[in-house]
Amino acid sequence: MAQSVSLDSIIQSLVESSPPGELSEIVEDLSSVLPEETSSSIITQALENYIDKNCGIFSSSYIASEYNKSPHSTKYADFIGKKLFNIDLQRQAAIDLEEFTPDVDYPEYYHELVSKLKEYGDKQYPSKFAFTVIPSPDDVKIIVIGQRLNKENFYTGQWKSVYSLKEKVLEGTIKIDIHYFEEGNVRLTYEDKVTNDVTMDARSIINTINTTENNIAVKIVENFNDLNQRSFKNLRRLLPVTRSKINWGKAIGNYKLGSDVVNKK
Amino acid sequence: MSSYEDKLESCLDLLRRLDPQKITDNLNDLCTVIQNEGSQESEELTGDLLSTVDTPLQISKCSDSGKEYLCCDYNRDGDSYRSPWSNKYFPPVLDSEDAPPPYPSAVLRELEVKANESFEIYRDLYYEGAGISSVYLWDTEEDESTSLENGFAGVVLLKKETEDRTGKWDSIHVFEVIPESSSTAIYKITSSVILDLSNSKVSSLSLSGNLTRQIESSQSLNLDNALNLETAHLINLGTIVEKSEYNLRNVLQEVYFDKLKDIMIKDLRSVGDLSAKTIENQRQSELVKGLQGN
Repeated sequence: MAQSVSLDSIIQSLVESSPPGELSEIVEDLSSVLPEETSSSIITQALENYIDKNCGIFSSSYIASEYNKSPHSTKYADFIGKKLFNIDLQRQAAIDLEEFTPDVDYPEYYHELVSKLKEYGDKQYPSKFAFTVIPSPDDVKIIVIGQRLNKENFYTGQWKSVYSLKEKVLEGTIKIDIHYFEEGNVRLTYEDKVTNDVTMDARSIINTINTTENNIAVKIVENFNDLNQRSFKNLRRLLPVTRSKINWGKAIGNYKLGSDVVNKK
Repeated sequence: MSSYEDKLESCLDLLRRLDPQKITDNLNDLCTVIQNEGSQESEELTGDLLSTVDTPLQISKCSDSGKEYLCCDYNRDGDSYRSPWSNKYFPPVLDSEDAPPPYPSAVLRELEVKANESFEIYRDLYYEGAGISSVYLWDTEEDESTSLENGFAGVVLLKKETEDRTGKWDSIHVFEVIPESSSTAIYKITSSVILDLSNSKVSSLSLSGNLTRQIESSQSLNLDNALNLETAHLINLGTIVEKSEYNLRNVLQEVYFDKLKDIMIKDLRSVGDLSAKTIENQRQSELVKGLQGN
């Protein structure tokens, strides 16, 4: 059975490098390549691991992740609407919804935070926006996802912030993943960790999140310029130093390798 | 059961979607999965994938000339790669009479030598003295033609890394020259650039991937100006590769630095206040409604 174990881990690692918004295409491709009898259960397992680790949006507003996986069933918990749900990966839908009574205490600011997060998302996230707040005995998790799937124009992208709130400290991991695939395959990835002191009220939490995310967006724009000026421009010139295209053929003998003309910058 | 074509298409689609920075690993993983089946068809499929999918070029050293050269499926025989500088395989291939490793015909090898000289100049001028270039040519006719008139094919490879290692560039131009008339030939070229940019000292932002474009054009082989056929091909090939790479560099600039940034700011999370824009949109839609007389 050693071989099938390694097949599991290979499929796992292939699925891990999927863009967040293209899982259904990846599944379709893998199912076509793999022999049918082995494929479906391995792929399903790899997808579940992917969702738990990277979060996913279902039926537009439900978020599934390792943080809200129900310990008692295969379902995920939505603490805002107090529902349990299963996920349909192909349809990106939350299914089998049922009521539940959470056995954790909600913090005082919970409901105000939820309504402020909604307001915040409508203002700062131009495309699909989903969020959830997960209370637990250890901390309170806030997950914020902005996502755009524009497959007709060959791109998908996701901004995801996962915050952990505990004892007046807000820690967060912000990940951005953009895939552009018209006549090619180009990927932007970014990951940053932040820590901020906060007052434990909804207003202060939202303001801190807003400032943090604004700073990161501005920083990334600067990083773009840096990579453009420092890295991209030093790889290949647009034109030679002579500012004219090359005289090919015998005349090319007039250029000298490593000559002063070339090295003058 | 999927057909061979379906499977190949699915594999290529997968590799167009999965993280391009892991393209070499993903390609190998996918081949392992396919070969797990152990059929004749799976051998063929992995062969097709390895020759179709571009991965960052490996560097080898030519022991004869002491110079480095680039490796791809087109100069490969088993685990050895032919050097464009010495025309020898490294590590050496044992010459067997049954299956000798492939070499270009004598006439084509002459052109290959000159093409390598020309593209070294090109590399020097555009890549500011750094990087490595290699050109490989092969005959397209079964009976190794003794002249260039029957057409041929080849690949021009260029590779460079910035000194601070924050930028990596691999360009791969595969072309075919098809005779059209006594004085013209069609040049078909498929150019890909694999571009990887990230400066871990500054941030974790990584821009990585590849873009491909094709050009096809009919070129004159006009030999009036005391040019021979070989020189005419060198001029045409040089010109078309230069043009294709110029175009691709512009597309890379657009996609990596304008498109991706726009998606982040306009589609994912806006930097400033959205309200002003929303109000403007509302005003627009009210205006449209007004015009429609609703």
